[in-house]
Amino acid sequence: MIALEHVSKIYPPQGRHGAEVRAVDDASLEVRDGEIFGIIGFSGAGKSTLVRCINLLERPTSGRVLIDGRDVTALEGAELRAMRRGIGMIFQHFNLMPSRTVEGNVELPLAHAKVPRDERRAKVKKLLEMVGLADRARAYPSQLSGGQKQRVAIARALACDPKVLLCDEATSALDPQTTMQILKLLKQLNASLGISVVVITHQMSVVKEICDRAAIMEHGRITECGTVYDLFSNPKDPSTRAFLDMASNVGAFYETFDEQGSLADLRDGTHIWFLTYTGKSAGEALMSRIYQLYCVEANILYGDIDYIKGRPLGKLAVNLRGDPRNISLAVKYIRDQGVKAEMIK
Amino acid sequence: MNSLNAFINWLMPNFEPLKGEFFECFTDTLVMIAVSGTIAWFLGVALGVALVTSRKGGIMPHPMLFTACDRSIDVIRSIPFIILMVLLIPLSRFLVGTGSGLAGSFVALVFGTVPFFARQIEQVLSDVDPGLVEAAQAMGFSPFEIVFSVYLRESIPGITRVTMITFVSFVGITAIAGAIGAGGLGDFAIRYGYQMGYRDMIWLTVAVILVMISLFQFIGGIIVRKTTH
Repeated sequence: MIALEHVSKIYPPQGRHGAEVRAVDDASLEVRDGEIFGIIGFSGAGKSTLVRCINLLERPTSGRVLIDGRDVTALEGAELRAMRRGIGMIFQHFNLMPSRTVEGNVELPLAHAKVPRDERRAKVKKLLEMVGLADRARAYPSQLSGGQKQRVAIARALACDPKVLLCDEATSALDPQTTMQILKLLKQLNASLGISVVVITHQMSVVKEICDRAAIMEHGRITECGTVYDLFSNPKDPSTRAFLDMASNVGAFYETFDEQGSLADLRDGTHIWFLTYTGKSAGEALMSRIYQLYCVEANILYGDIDYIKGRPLGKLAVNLRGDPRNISLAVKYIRDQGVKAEMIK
Repeated sequence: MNSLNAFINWLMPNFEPLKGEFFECFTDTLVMIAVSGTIAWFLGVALGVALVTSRKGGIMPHPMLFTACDRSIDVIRSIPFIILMVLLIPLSRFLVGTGSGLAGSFVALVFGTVPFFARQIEQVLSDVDPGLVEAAQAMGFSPFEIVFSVYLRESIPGITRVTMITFVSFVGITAIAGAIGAGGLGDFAIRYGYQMGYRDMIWLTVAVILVMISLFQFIGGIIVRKTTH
C-alpha cells in the first residue's frame, strides 16, 4: 500500500523575475494493494511530479510518503535504491536503452540487482513471453513500434518483481488501438500478478477503461478522489465537474448551447434539464413514460452513454415542455427512478 | 627488391641516409600518441563525466566541483599550446623528472588535449536522453552504475566520433611539441624539410601522418557503425 500524506513539491523561483512553482500542493492519496489507481488532470496539473514523489525521483518539499506503512520520504543511497527496485515505472516515451537489444533492456535491472546469469536468462524469457514479445528478443528498440516498445518497457519494469507499477502517461504517445492493447495488458498483469498499478494520464478513456479508483488533479491539488464510477456519475467538486465536462462530449454540448439560435431556443420559458442515470435505468424509456404519465414532452438535445469498467453511465440533456406543474411532477418521478436531474438553463 | 629500392631512391633521394632517423622519429611520435593519448583520453572522459554529473540537475550535483572543472578547462584552453608547453616545464620536471625530450612532452600534450576533449565529451554525454537517466534512477541504479550503463554505454558512437576529431588536433600538437625538443615527426619535418629544405622528406612526413589519421578514422568509423542502432 502506498500513501501520500500532505505532499507538496515547491520549486524555487527561476531567474530574477521568476515566482516559486507549486507543482504539487498538499496532496494526499492512498493506493491500495492490487488496485489500479488513476491520477487524471490536464497537462501541467502536477500529475507527473506527484507520481515521481512516490519513488522519490522528486523529493517532496513537505509531507510524507509511506510504502506499506514505512516512511520512505527521507531514504538515501542504497536504501533508497532498494526501495525503488520494488517499484516499477514506465514512461510516455518508453525510455529504452537504444544501444541494447530488447533482451538487454529487460536484463539490465536484473544484472544490477546481481541476479546470477542463468536465472537472468530464464527470467528475461518469461517476462518477454508475458508481454508477448518473445520473438523480438534480439531486436533493437529502434526496430520496434511504439506499442512494442512500451511492452518491452513493461517487461523491464516488472523484472525485479515490484509490488507497484507506475505508469507516467504510458499510452499518451500511442494510437487508440495500441493504447487499448497496452491497457489490456496492464489489466491482465494486475489480475495475474496482483500488482498495484498507478496510472497517470490526461486521457479520460484510459481511466474509464482500467481504473478502479482515481484522483483528479488541478493546479497541483487533488480536487476529488474516489471510485471511477462515482467520480464520473456524481462529481462533487465544481472543478472536477468542469474537467469531466470538458474532457467528454458534454463540453461540446455546452459550447453549442451558449451560441445564439442553437438547438436550445428557450424563449418560450421552458428549461433544460440535465439527467444522469446509472446502471439499469434507461433514459429514453423514461422520456416516453413522463409523456404518458404527465403529458410532458421531452426534446432531447444531447445524449451519451459511457461504459465505465463495463457499467453504463448515461447523460441526457432535455428540454421539457408542458404544464409547469406537470413538469415538476415529472422531474420528481424521474428522481424517484434514481436518476439525477438538474436544471441547467 | 632492387627495383623497389631504386624506385624509392628516385622518389625520395634523401631517404636512404635518413632512414634510421626517420623511423626513430616515427616511433617517438607513436609513443607520444600512445602514452599521452591514452592518458588524455581517460582524463578527458573522466572530466567530461564529472562535468555532466556534477552540474545543476545532474545525478550528483556538486556546484563547487563543477565550477572548478568548468573554469580550469576554460583557462587552460585559452592558452596557446606552444606557450602552454613552456609554462608547464616545471610541472613536467616535478611529475616525470624532465621538462624536455620525449618524456618531457607527455605532460604538455595531456594538458593541451584534455580540456578540448573533455568539453566534447561533456557535449556528447549531455545529448543522452534525460529520460534514460530517469529510467535508470527509477530502476534503482547507483550514480556509478548510471555513468557506466547509461551515460558512457549509450554514448559510445558519440565518444568515438569526438575521439576521432580530437585525434587529428592531437597529432597536430605532437608536431608542435616536436619542434621544441620532443622529437617525433614534427621535429624531423622541421629539421630536414624546413631547415635543410628536403622537399621529399616533408612529403614523406605528410604521407605518413595522413595514413595514420586515415587508419584511425577508418577504425573509428567501424566502431560508430557497429554501435549505432
